[in-house]
Amino acid sequence: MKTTIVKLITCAFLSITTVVCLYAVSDKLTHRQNSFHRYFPPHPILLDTVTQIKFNSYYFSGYDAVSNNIYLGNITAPLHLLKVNTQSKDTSHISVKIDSNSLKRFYAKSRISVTPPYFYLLDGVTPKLLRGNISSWNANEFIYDNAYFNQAIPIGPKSLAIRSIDAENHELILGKVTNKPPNVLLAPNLLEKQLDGIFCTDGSLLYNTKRSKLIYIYYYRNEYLIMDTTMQLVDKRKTIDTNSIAKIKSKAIDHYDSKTMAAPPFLVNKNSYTYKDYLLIHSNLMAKNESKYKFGNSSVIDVYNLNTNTYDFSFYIDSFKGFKLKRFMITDNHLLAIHHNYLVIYELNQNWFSEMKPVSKQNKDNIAIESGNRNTEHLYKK
Amino acid sequence: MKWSQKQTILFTETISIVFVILFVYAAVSKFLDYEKFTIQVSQSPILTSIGHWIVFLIPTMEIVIAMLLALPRLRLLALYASYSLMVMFSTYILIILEFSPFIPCACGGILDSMGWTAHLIFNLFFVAIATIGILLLTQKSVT
Repeated sequence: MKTTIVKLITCAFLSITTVVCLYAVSDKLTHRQNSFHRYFPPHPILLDTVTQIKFNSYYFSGYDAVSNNIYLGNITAPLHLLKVNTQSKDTSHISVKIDSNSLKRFYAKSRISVTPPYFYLLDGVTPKLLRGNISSWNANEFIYDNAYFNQAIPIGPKSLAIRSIDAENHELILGKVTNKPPNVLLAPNLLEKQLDGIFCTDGSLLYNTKRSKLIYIYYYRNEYLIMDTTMQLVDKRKTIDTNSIAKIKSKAIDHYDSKTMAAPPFLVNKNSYTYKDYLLIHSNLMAKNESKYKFGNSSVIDVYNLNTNTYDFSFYIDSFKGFKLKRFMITDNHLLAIHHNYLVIYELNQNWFSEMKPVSKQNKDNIAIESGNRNTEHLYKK
Repeated sequence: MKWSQKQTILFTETISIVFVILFVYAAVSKFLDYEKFTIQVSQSPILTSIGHWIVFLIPTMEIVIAMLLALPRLRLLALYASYSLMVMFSTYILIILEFSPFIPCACGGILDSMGWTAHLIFNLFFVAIATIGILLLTQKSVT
């Protein structure tokens, strides 16, 4: 009896040790440091207020610089918006009305983008493009809308940049939808295929209103593209890390006629946002001069200056009540962060965000557009 | 005494059969959808480095243990093996639940649809019955 129990305990011990060792080996491989450095100035952002927003499905739809209002769209309620005033912190709900014939069903992928004086309802699955005025919140058809897409962003009153899937080779492709024939202009050769053309070129498409440039930030390599509104490549730039080739493995499952990731992806750039001369990127990689503890408990944002083409600095956004940063955006004076169902508002330290200083309350120029967001699970593998 | 011994044998036999069913089912469902299983395992954050090996090793081990369980002479050894394997699986789940940022599951068939906590309880139950089986068998050989 005794020997049996001893044997059982030994077996259990050996089994546990084996699995723990496997984990330790993998963990060491995945958390290796990267050979680049970050610069952390003191307090570039200061906590202002926290607002509870009830649901964790909100995303940033847009910003009205004149009235200082932020609009939050909701993934699970496609016609609902939450308006938050960044000065008074007042919130109010908005219901978008649509003419019933134009759209019977919404898919989870449909998004609202607010760029005053308009708001856009973008559904790439149906597909449907609707536009309305933010004074009445009534959405109507306004443009040719037969192009399928998986990301879309308004770049003018009657034109949108889209990211779609090429019908011939099933690879990601950028393009533009306008109200002039031929309505859809596809721009092949913008996205550079490294592997499969789907996962390796995945990223987020942003529009910088001030500079009138489109920016495409790859998720899996240290690169972003800058394009003008005619979909011509202007510049190709690097982020600070050293990961120039997408480290992903994809595999086709013939049985299900689908493609999937065959190993945990090595995510470089998570969410990003552009406003005025800044490009902010939530990076997934730890630099040489960071502590693993701090990196693990917060999210690091790298600030790039589009004007000077430089990396300016980085800062941390700490987890809030145990929830990591999910989405973020900046305005002239604030950084807004969504952590689960909390909207955390930080004040920008103007010493560091000096490009924000001439707070021009003009009009359209101050409009930012929602960043491409992504809830990819947290992994930093090398 | 005679009756209790009969009961002991019945008990250990039932336990063995339950394990055989579990292992054969798990192994077969893995082999049947080998492609999917391979991908699921290589996505696991704990097994990234040795994934391609595990893919073959786990179902093979399950089949071998199931065969050993069928042989009365090797039953004790097989129960120890089953016990160890179940402890390993449980540890794996614990690590995944505690430390891993994202969680894929790589168990075949219906086991796929179980939640991680349910899965842990399921595994611990098998650890428990393996323990009972081992204790009964060794007790029998002492008397």
